[in-house]
Amino acid sequence: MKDKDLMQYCLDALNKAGAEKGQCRLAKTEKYEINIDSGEFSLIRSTSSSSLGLTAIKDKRKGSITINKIDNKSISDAVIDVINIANSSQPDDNFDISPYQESKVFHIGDNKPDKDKMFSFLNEFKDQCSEKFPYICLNQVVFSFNYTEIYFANSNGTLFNETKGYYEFSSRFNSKKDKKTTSFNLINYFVKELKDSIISNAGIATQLKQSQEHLNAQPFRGKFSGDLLITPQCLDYFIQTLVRIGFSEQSVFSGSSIYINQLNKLVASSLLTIHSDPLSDNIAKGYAITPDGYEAKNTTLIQNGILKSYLVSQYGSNKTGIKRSSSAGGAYIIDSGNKELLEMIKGIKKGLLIGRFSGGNPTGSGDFSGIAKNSFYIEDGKIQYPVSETMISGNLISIFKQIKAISKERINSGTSILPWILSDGITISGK
Amino acid sequence: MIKQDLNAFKNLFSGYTELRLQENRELLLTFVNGNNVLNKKSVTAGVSSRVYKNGSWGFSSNPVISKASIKDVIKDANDNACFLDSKINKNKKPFNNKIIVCNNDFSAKPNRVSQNEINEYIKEIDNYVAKKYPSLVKRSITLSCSDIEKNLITSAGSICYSMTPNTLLVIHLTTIKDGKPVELFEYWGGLGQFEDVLHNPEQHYSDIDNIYNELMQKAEGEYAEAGLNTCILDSRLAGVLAHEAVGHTTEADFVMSGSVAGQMMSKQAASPLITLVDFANTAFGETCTVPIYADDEGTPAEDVVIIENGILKNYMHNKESAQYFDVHPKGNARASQFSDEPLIRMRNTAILPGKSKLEDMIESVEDGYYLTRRVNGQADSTGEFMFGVNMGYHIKNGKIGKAIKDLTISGMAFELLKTVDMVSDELTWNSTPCGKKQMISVSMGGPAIRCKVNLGGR
Repeated sequence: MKDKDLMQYCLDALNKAGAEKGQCRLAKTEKYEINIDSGEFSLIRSTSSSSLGLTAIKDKRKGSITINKIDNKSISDAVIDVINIANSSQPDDNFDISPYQESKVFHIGDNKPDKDKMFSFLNEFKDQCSEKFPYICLNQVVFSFNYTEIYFANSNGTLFNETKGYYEFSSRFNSKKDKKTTSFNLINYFVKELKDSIISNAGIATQLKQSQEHLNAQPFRGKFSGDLLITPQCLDYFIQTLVRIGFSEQSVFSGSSIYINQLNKLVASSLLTIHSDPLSDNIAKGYAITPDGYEAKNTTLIQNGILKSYLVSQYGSNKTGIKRSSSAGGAYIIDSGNKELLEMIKGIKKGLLIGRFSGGNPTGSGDFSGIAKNSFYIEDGKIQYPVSETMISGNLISIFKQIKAISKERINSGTSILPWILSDGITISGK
Repeated sequence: MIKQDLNAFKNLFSGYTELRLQENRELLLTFVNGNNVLNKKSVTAGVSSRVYKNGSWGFSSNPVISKASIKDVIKDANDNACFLDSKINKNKKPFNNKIIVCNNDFSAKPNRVSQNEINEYIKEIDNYVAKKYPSLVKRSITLSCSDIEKNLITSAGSICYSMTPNTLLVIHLTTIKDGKPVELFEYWGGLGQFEDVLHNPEQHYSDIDNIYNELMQKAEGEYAEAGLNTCILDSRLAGVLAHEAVGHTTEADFVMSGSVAGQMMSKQAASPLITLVDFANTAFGETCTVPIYADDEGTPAEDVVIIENGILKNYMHNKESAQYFDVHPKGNARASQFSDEPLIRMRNTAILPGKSKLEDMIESVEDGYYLTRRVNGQADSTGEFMFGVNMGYHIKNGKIGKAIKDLTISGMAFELLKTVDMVSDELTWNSTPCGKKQMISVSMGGPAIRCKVNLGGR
């Protein structure tokens, strides 16, 4: 049976089993991956995977199941299971499936890996690291090509088909010289096709250079309240946390969101504009179909500091009356600012350039504390020295309210496009 | 499907080869404020093979389990290994393999509870919280049940079947104080299917009352003083020291990449009061939460004594790192899904109990903190670790004082362990997923300890 026909087969089976509304999603992925461990090529891994998700709504009750087999017997068993799950669940008037939308086909990226080119790109990266950054230890590098074909269909007649291919590079690395070892750092980026050398992407060369500089890191002494200059790599974590506590469906409909009842109000610095743009041409790992079965659209979350949208699905929208968001999150893009990075550093009297945050998950209030990893102490407009054993604490909401500047420069990781952000009021403490 | 004889495929092996069938089954059920927002099952099964050629590995997997797909993955894994070997030619020696034949099935008894009974159990707990604590802004109850079934055969001769279930119930409460949410959670569970782990909703009520009371104390809490402080780490969170602070730095792949533990073998790495063990499957006469009898390379699992009376004794290995360090592996190579290759992972890692009493330890602190619950944690190649603490109290003149707000603690693992001067006589285990390329279940345990640690307060 063709995958497209399988969708109708599943919907018919759900209907026959008693589902008043049904939804199915089939994703098939081929992955080809080359690994480096402890600085040496170690493994080539090729995997095929499939995932068939079935959802049934019956008597206002909902159940879902995901299996990775698509033979008739497995589907029949899954249909019985999902009806049982629905029967056992709590009824809720707000469960629904997306309305009819015109059938569409979406396509992004390559559909097959260039295996020899992948090996030569990775080999070149390994050689360049050895030559230009001799103290770098590549703990674990994974360079993969992923091709996924998705079919989505529901009993309202919606049928979408999305294919996407992308290359992913991820690396955990640190520096080591004699008895000195630095903190590890992480690189993760996605591209639709292999064009530029690995080292020229996503600020990688800067991260490697800064890791080596950390061989001379010093513990910071004392405690002060000062500026925090956040790199795009670190900002990615802060944005994802902000989304969890402020924009996510659970936080909104339970009323625990720090942005509850703040729609169209000023919640952040007027310098800040955040989009969730899964369809942007510049985002390599976007998506065209949302998990609740709608065609995805680019969405602005914060415009010049004003809250424009939460990230709620059809269910969250039905539950709260808040407008459903056209994006399901991710693919975050922050608009460039008007200052160059060097100019931003020059304006810092006393502060920290933070490359990675390692801390306890910030609470729902936005309070956080943790270690400033891969970070540098700044004083009188100059980067003074790399720091170790330095902690920061503050409040995430305040960070975005107290933005002093946003850089013109941005880093595109393929899942986000983010600038450097300068904020203040952070407690920085050392030994 | 998973439990079948794989001997017929051995004739397809060329060189060192692993063949594994695996099925991961999961049930996730979540109620938020009484709404059943998640009610989902998933089943992920398939076959994978890994082949070793002169120092290069090839791996392949397929979700279809059939004679044809098994032949295909063995061939593809071999092709991948040959391709890499042709490019880099490491020319390494074959492994010196220990083998094991084992069958470890922790399935529940035949009369399983129904999906309906499971939902009713969770609803009853939700009703209890809703009625008794109506002022909470959010109550979230999540049940996660997972079964991992594996069938492995290796060219060396190991044949290993296991079925390892795990059940976890998490209750998360949120209140609002001065317009800001304050949260606290507790979890129960461990090895076994639902009916072997959770018996009666009422068994949780006194714990729920305790979490609520602690949440109210935290809502009125104060910020801890940032900087180095004398702390008592309760036994509920000391296990994370074993896992994050020391465990990761002593995984041999981290050591080979420059971990600080690489320079400490046979040296004083901690206070003589500290002995730290990664248990394979049984500790103090009881089966551990993550019992491993053979790992996913078919190596018989043994305990690894990492630190003994303060001296660093062993790293944790897979076959390849053990060959590099000229020791024998003890079963730390574990894979998460059928499509994952085995990596060096911990199993059940614990600091062993000492002789002090917790009450005496608290009384001994003039000005410091008693930290009782924790959230996430992270290790580093330098030995610097952190973990989030979501409940704790100020100690003043040996008495427990006001609760404190959430914070992160950090330190250099081996320096911190040298400051340990009291270790309690109790031991608490807890389990958690650990991420290192793949998410995998581990458990960690420990006694309460008194030490100096850096607090990320205000």
